[in-house]
Amino acid sequence: MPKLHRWQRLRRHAVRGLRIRNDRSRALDVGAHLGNLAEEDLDEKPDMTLREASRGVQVRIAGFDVALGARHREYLRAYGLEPGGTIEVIQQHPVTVVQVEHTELALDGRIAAHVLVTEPMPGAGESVADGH
Amino acid sequence: MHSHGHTTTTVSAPGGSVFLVGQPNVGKSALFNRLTRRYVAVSNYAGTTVEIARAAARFDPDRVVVDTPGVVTLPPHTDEERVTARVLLSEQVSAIVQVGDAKNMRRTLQFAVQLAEMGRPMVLALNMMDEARALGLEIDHAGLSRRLSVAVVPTVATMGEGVERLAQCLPSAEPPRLHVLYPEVVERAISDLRPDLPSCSVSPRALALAFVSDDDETEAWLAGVLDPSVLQGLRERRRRLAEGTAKPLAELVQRTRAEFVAGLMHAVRARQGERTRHRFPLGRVATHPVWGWPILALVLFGVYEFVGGFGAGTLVGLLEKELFGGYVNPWVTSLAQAWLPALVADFFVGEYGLWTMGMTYALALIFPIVTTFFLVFGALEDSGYFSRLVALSNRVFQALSLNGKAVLPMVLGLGCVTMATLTTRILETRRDRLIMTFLLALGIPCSAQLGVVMGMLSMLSFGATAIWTAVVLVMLGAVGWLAARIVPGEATPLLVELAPMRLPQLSNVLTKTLARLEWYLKEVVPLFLIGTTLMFVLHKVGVLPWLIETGKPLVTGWLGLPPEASAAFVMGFLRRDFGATGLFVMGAAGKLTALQAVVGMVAITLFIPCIASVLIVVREFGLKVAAIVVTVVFPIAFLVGGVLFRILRATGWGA
Repeated sequence: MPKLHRWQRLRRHAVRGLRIRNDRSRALDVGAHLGNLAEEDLDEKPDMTLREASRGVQVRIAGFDVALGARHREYLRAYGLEPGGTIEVIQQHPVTVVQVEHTELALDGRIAAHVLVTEPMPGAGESVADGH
Repeated sequence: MHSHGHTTTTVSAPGGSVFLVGQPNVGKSALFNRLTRRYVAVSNYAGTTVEIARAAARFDPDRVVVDTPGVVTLPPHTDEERVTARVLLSEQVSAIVQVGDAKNMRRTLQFAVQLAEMGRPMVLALNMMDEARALGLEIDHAGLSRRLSVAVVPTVATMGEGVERLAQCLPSAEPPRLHVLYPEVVERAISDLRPDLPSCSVSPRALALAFVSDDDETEAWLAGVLDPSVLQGLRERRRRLAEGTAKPLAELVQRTRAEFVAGLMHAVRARQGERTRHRFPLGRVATHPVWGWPILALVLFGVYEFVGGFGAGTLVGLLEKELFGGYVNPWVTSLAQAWLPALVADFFVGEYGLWTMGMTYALALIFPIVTTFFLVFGALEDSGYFSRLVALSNRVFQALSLNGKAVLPMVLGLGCVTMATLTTRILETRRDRLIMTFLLALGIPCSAQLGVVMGMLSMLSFGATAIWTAVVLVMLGAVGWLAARIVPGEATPLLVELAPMRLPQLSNVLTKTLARLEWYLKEVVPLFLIGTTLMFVLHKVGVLPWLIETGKPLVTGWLGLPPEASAAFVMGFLRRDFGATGLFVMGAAGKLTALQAVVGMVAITLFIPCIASVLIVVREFGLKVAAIVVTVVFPIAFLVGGVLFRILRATGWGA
């Protein structure tokens, strides 16, 4: 099971598309209907998009924005950007480059802007970048 | 060394073939080379432009090994992936060998689970084991083998390690007895739909899973074998079964698989303290936002020196002037004139002679240039630099509404536009390929032309070179922008793996270069000969002089060039360098002002590419597209030339 016990569930029913609020208050469970929410259960509060992450940090994948097409979603997951997995941001210019396991991936900033990530707490969980 | 032959046939041998499948950059081709004998047949998979390589197995001459295009994941999204998926679905399979990258196990296992569920006899080769070991990874392949119920063989294809063992596993390869348990709603959907799905070579469970996951390719295949009403009924049932679940079934399936893979990953352990980031230094610098560009400039300079200096200069000089000009052509000419009737002799060795013009051009001029070019290209490709170049130049191409992958055909176009048009296949969508073809046809001077243009411009002034460069670049940008508006579809954002950079291996480079040269000799040279024949016929019936005459007013009145330039343009269609050379000769004889020279060079660069590339466009995209390209590019070249002429004349430059 994903790490439910560590994080609070945050489910919000957005009126117009998806807006992840950077809200650190207690979560409100609004029931099974996720509406326009991204298809992932948000086990963690996403801090930002991959595009906004700084160079050299490790981030954990929280989920994907609905705006990201199926093809890119599947490719990203196939390469290892699985919700719950950790990657390292190598650079953001001129393209976003991340390290997943033992390989590097270059992606357009527009794709990175639809990948929701959090900065893991120190000492949290396994790191995909270690090849574990 | 393998030799190649090109055919269009079906793929498998009776009794089934061994198919190599895997994600890109895992070393499939290296393993393919290790498993097979010398002669490799490259064929287009039925009805597609995707190429498949197959050859007899070394371990069993009656067995055929087939190399499939790399697949990132199933369901497929590109033409190449679709071919691999179709192969897995329908072909007679004796065994599937998944070739996986041992240092990226999670990704490898994700794909392995997908394949294993398909229920076809399968073996997993963990390739690049040496790199994994160097990174401190320890993989319990016996344990993995048990849990996946698939034989797992560590290999190092580049050294041949593990290949014997792999070959031994193949005859006894079995369908994996893997059974991943999905959430209840998914399992219910599977058992409900499964009995009514048609039987095919993959396991019924896998087919049901794919259908439940809304896989497009599976639907397309089902639409081909089922009654529309039956398929509709199945879709209805699927929809009803999925009702009431918060998430789409596809998502649940994927999640479950990911968790299963996470469990499998316990078989992979990393020695503490190993870090990979130090192992990527060269690759990192190559995509550095600041340092990447000087590196690129350095690389381009090296290419220019080797291809332009050595290839176009030394080699062409040797071949064209000395060998062909000095020995071969006079000999052939005297032979033809002695033995053949006048007209036939003229056909072969006359002014537009098949040999003296067509063949000489193809062999003495273009061949050495493209050989040096392909060598350099192959070396850059093998080193992994190109993916870095793609990443670096992505922003530039976004302005043309393409992505960084377009840099490859564009760079290749500087060598040979014909070949570059073929390379547009690497662009993911047809829209991108069309836009790229337009750009290639419009503004990319091939090596034959580039040398002459550069030579001429350098004789003039730096200003001339600057004007030429600026106009060409602006035109590329403008046409790219326009094409993006006209050609339907969205821009494709970039997503590409940056495989580790390494020293190019001579054997790989030579193999690829030889394959490309073979392609060139078989596919392009005949087109030049066709073009020469066409010119000969047109010349004989008087159409060619008529064309030149008709072109004169256009050339003089609109472009401001001397009337002889008309011949240069007409000839430029057959031999691209003739256009530039024609003007060069005029310039050297003092018949052109600097202004005229620049206008002429710009016009000839933008002018349609040679007949060989137009014919390739016909083959790749159809007659209609080729006609559109020609009818659009032709006027643009003249329009821009004329406008430039007037602008420069008005400013009094170069008169």
